[in-house]
Amino acid sequence: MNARVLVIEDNDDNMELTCFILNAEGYDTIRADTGRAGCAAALQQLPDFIVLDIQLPDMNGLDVVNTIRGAEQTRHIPVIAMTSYAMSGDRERMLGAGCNGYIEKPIDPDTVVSQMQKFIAEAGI
Amino acid sequence: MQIADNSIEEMESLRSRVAELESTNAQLQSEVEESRHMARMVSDAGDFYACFLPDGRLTSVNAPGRALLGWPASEGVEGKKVLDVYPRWVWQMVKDEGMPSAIEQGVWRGKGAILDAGGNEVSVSQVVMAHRDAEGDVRFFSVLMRDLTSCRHTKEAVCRAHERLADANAVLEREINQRERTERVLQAALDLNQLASEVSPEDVINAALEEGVRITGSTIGYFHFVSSNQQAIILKTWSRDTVKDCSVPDLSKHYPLEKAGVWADCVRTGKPTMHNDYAHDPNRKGLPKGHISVHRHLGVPILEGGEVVAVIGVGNRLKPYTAMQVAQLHLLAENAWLIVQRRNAEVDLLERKNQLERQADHLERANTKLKEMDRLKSMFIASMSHELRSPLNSIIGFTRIVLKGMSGELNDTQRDQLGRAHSAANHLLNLISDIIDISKIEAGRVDANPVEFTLAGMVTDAVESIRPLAESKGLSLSVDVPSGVTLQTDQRRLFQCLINLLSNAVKYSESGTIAISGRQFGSEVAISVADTGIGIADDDLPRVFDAFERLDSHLRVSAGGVGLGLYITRKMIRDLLKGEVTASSERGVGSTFTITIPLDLGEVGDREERGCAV
Repeated sequence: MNARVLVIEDNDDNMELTCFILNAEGYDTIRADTGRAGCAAALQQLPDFIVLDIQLPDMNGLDVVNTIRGAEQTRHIPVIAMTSYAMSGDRERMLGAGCNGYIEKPIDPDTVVSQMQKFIAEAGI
Repeated sequence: MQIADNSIEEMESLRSRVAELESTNAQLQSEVEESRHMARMVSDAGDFYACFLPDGRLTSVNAPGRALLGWPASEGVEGKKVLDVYPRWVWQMVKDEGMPSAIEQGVWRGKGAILDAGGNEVSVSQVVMAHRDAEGDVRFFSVLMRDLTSCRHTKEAVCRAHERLADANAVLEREINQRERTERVLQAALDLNQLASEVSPEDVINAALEEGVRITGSTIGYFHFVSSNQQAIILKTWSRDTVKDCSVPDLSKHYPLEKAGVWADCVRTGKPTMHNDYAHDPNRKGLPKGHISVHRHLGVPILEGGEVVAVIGVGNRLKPYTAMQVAQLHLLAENAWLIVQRRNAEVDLLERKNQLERQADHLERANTKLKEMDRLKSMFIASMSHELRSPLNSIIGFTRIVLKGMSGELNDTQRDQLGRAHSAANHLLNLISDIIDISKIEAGRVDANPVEFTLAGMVTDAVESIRPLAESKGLSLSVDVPSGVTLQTDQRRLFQCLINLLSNAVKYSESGTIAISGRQFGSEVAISVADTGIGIADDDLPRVFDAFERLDSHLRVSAGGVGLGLYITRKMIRDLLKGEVTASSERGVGSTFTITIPLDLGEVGDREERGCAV
């Protein structure tokens, strides 16, 4: 059975791109286009890891990470933050909140999956 | 303060003058006393005393008498007669008048004379007394004579002393008067000073003028300014009583000096001028109709740096004006002027202060507005950063996927065309990143993130990443960097800057070698990138680091880009890495760009100086 990845992303095009790349690399993807839907999907589906856009319409990325880290069932799931909001300090804040990795958009389809795999390996899961 | 100093000096000199006069006075008084005593001594010890019988025979003559007559002190008087002492006319008078009166009233006083040793008459005053025996019969007469010549001398001396004393007293009195008047002037000046802090310069002038009129015993007065070219009198103010009694209709404010009468002489000469007989002054021009009549006048100029700046005048003193009034008016006017100057300076200062405060207010409001605009700008950039990158993420991502053939095979034309779209999208991304970088640095929103790394390692990474581009243009690369130089600074930013310099070097060179060298100088490190490109003209060199500065239209075509690379590089080197980047060039030979930064960013200053993270 393929590993399952929850992608939380509000932009349709980027959702399509990320999922296409992950699918091409052999992952199954679960899609959530809001923070709340993402948190619910994480609890219900218990994915192998989560790719999180930190700019969402309803919740900010930090709140999503805190919710996931706060629930017993989802506490251990690796979260990789992905953002085009490249203000200084974002990386530190997201990593500090418990994200296992941080990838800046635009993503490079050639390397993005290997980057994710590296972060998950570092997370020790 | 100058006014106070002047006043104190004046008072001191007056005090010492008065003390001097008082001591002269005391000396004179003691001289008078002495003269009087001398006179007493003369009369007591030197009076001629003699006794004679009714028939004129002398019975005794005292020692001073003998001395006066030139008789030996021890010789007796047997056989001597009164006629040996008196001139005949005196004896006659004594016999006819003195002796009968003395017999009748006991004493007779009168003038007379005696004959001295040389037979000369010496004027005397004399007292003749009749002496009786127990039965009441006259036995003898005694006469006391005082030498009137010596007496007169003494009297004259006493008189002279008295006169000198009176003179001294008069001088003393005048001095005291003068002192009192000067004290009044000084008091007036001090009053003016106190007034000065509360009222306008006009009020100070008016107060000084009224005081000047009063102190000099005048009835009218004026205070006018003199124009800076010394050609006109700017009529300012008149004393209350002058205005009351004078009915010259509105005079023009500027009064040409050449038209002014003798009253303005002090402006012409720069010296105080007195006219004690104004009506008969030969140079008098005549007063306008309705003008208050002037019979005496005193004008005092006020000078500043040798130029007459104002004039104060008084008139119609009952007695003639003297140096005394000149001094009084001068002192008062000078003081008033100093106060006016100070007051004007204060008013000026206050006005400037208010002006500055208004400006500060404006600036503060503008500043607040700018801060708000800056905040909006930052927010705009932050959101643009996201909004622009999100679609670019899809464009770049999908074109790359398609180019890789992940969505199916492409023919060569499709691959070439999509490749162009992909590289254009990347170029657009770089531009957006540059603009965002600049905005963030300018907003102080980029934090340097110092890490430890080796110079050689970082330079190698940069060179390797640019190598494909350089080699595609047939350029060679040479690297001369010592191993073992370790830096503690923002590696990512330094790398970015070095890449910018290397990209430019490749961009502007058509052949030759790009030489990269690194050197440590004390606590700093210098990294140079030298190319063999087209070079930069001397005139253009200072502008290469400006934003959007493309030096030559030819370059725009051949090199692409918008000219932000060097601007960002210098911003990052200066603002984040606390260093400097410089350029040198020779047209047609090549350019060298050198980055100099501290080895350890942490030693340069505390983190706050480098800006804080958002």
